[in-house]
Amino acid sequence: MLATRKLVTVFSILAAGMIVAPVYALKVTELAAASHGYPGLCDINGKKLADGEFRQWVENNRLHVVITYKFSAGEVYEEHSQFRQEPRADPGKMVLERIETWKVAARVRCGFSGWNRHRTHQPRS
Amino acid sequence: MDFLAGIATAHISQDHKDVSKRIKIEPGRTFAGFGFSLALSNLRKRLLHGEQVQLKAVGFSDFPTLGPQVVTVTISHGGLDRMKMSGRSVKGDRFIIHSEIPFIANFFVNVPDTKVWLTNPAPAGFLRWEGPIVLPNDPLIRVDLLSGTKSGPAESAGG
Repeated sequence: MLATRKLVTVFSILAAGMIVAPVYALKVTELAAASHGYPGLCDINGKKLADGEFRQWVENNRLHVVITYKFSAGEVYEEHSQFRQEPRADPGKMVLERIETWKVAARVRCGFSGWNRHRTHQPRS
Repeated sequence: MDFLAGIATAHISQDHKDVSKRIKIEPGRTFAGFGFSLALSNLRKRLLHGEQVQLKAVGFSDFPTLGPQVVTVTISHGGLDRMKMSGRSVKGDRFIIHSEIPFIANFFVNVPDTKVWLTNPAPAGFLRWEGPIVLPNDPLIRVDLLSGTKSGPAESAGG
């Protein structure tokens, strides 16, 4: 079984290497700015599971995005991200580049099966 | 995920272990989570004209071993939809994020498409997201721009 998996992995990597077409860095056409909202998280049938808060602002030339979900049982899930959306080598081109993401402030334990994970990685300052 | 260092880390609480892996980040074209909504906003015009764009996505998978992986995704415009959220009927462009899983791996893992809706008409902003929570076989969830007690499915608006 292990040997089979290794073979599958090797062939998968080879296959992936052959089908990937070259794509250049994403150009920024729509600059993002400060924003604040209250999204909702629900299951695929539309039943609400958590209340969210979305915050986005620009600080030190970086776009900061923080999304927080509070579940009914008190659990909190938080996603922190920072993006660079500034000119790079070519001043005429803006590049959207994600520089870090994921910081969870509290343990996540959601009320449906299959999800019992939390991330604790602290992004570098 | 630290995109500068190229390291993705997750803690699996049910197994009491950390999973950390060095991943290959291609600056400016590798995204995860909400990053795809921002990327879509910048690709919107191209996608509405029928173009398909390939980017890289960082996700977590339990195949071949549990951990973070970078996969190629193809992004396309799926159509104009109307949906109910927070007691309102709103319209949005549906964009499909399809993972390009190698043929052989398809026998072992099924990665559902992630769908992102941006507001229509422009300016395009986030409207809805649907996809698996973390792992490909996790339950599908939905995130709506407007929070309400009941959220309705997206239906074609014929656009």
